[in-house]
Amino acid sequence: MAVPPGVSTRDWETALRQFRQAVGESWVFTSEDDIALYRDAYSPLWGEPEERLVSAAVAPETTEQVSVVVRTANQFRVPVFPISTGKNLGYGGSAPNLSGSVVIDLKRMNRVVEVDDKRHFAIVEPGVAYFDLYRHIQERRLNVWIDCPDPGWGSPVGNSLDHGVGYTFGAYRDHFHSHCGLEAVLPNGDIVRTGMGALPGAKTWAEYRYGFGPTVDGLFAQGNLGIVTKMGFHLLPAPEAYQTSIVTVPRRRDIVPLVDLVNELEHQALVGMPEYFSPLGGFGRPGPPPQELVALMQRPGGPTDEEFDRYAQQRNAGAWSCRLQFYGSPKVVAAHLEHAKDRFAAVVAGSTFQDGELLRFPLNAEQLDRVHKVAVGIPNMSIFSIGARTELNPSPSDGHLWFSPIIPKSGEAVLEAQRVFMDAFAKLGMPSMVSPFTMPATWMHRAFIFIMAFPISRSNVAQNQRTRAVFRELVKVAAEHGWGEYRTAPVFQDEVMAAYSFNNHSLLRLHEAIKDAVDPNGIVAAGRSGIWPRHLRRTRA
Amino acid sequence: MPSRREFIQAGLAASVVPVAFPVAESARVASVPHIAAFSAHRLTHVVCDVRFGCSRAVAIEAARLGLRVVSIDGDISDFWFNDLAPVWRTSPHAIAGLTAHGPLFCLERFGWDHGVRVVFRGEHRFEGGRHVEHSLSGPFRTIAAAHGTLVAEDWPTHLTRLLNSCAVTHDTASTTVRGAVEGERERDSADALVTLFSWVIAPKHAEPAAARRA
Repeated sequence: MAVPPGVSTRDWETALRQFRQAVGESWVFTSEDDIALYRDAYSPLWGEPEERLVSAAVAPETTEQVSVVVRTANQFRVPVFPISTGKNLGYGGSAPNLSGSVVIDLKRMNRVVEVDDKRHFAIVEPGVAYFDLYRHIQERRLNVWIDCPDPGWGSPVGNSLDHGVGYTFGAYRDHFHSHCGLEAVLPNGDIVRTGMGALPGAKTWAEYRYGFGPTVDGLFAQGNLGIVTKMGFHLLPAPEAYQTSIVTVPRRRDIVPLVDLVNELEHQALVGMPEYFSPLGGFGRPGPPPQELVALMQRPGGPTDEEFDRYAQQRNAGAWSCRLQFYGSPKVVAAHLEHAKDRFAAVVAGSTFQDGELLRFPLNAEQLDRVHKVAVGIPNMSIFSIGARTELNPSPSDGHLWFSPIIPKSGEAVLEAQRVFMDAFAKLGMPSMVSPFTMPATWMHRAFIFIMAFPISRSNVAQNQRTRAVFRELVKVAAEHGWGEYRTAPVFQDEVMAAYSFNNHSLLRLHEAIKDAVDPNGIVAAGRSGIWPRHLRRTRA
Repeated sequence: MPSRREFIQAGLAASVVPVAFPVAESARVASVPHIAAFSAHRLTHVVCDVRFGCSRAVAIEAARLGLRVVSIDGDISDFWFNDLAPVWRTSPHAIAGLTAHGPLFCLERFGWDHGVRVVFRGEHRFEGGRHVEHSLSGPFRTIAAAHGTLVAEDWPTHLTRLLNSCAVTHDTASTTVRGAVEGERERDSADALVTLFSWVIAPKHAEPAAARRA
């Protein structure tokens, strides 16, 4: 059994004994079989000495038990790393930043405290998965939707604390933004509630997020100042109907007005999450690219915009498309769709719309099979349906690593990101994961994520080392252009935080000052987001 | 390899035949005598990934054994939400299947939270359309029995019996068996494009019954 770093064997044994007294013998895990479950399944360090491993895990059932466990950890300076359901795949899973940490596994805290379908909110514990909350709502026929990520096995608390995102309306799919009040256990074991939760007897925990005074909730997201044990969330009132429509614009430069107009519609809350793609290629296009396109792409300097346009015209295809999602009553959906068509007709010559079927809720089985489930608030696991082998990903079952730089929500920024990252891959001498058709992810309400998935191997250490080197280089390239990652695996968190360097890293220095004040022994999630406790700062950061 | 029509018919049969463990028990004893001497997990579901001929063959044999067959197309969402989660929440039971990696990956991790683990894992990789290599790990007796059975062309049928007879023991083993591939059709099927995984997920003895409150 591994002993946490900086902890004597005697203290470790005492701490374990106290953990067991707090949560019960059965809920302290120290065997190799058990703690292996907390490895990051998609670790880019898999099997290497630097892989982030845990020494033990403790699974409390109540906030009070969390408090006792944390007090014990603080007394013996045992580093702890909290997880909700531990499904943060591609961004670190349930593995800690600091090897030897004790995972505080909150899955047993799985109570849905409250769901109100008149005031449209929920209060849940960290072990409640999206599936659980969805079941709770369905079984009671409550008139609210959840906004869930894809896949849906994570938890609202964990996902929002990692700045996770979903698929419906902007106000809901930024999951931390949609939270409203939280409860947390501080490193000294003290229990704190934010917002209206701080007012005993208040009934507005999940309705008014600020309460009174400074707002501190954000310090607990991607942070290491405490362990969140409850959160409130705003929920979307269940709409009556849903319809998609795909707008296509003919020319490559039309990406600029396309994004501008979709922004206008989205920021007016007339459409839900837009999904961009190119009919000419990119993600999701089946089969190998046509020879003519390959020849165009291989020309020195690549094709011009005019050549792209001619290629598109010859195929009677547009240059760019966007799937718009409309929610509301059938009348509202029809009006919003008509308005969208009017705006495009006025601004982008040659734009066309392809309307989907108007779906009324509840959906029948056949409609459920066809619909993108997360777009209508249904958690699912279909994303784990088979991954095909490709040259870039010979072992799709081994997992992937997300590279997720935030870029501006504009067509110009998309074209620039394509060019910059294609150049970067060329300089790095590896096949480009970006093409002139690559479009960003649109989960964020007010920004794009120019996301890429790097394959991870469990058997090829050299490939993982190469991937890590490329990843680090791309972090630098992105930063040079003002793009920073919104989330990343522990192994890269120091580099990513270092890129947020305004005024000699004043943000990190503020984080460190707060960390030292709130967690002087540095026991909670040491190193998370590149924020190391004082005693590890020089050696780790 | 069964056709889709045969498979659907078997699925229909499975859906109308009540789960009949006595039949399954006798079939198990007859087919795998070396394992019959000790208690196996009773499988509540056998998961079949209908995209793959080998998995459809497993479904047919499982139905013949009286086991409840669950058909998926790589997506375990409905099975998890409607069938498995409600059962595992109160009483974790054993399940088995032959699927692509994704369904196993999901079910294994769901299982961790409910006190069940993968106790048998097989990796079935097609090699050039001529052979299939079975890399297996699990209880010693199950692995030992595999040597005599998975070399045949109808290995999915034998595999089903192995899965149905798998019992958790402290002595585990691993092995690799090279088997034949059934016919020209199999070589061209979707099976050859992926590695398939057979598995049994079952309560692991001497461990907490469940990681969730009942």
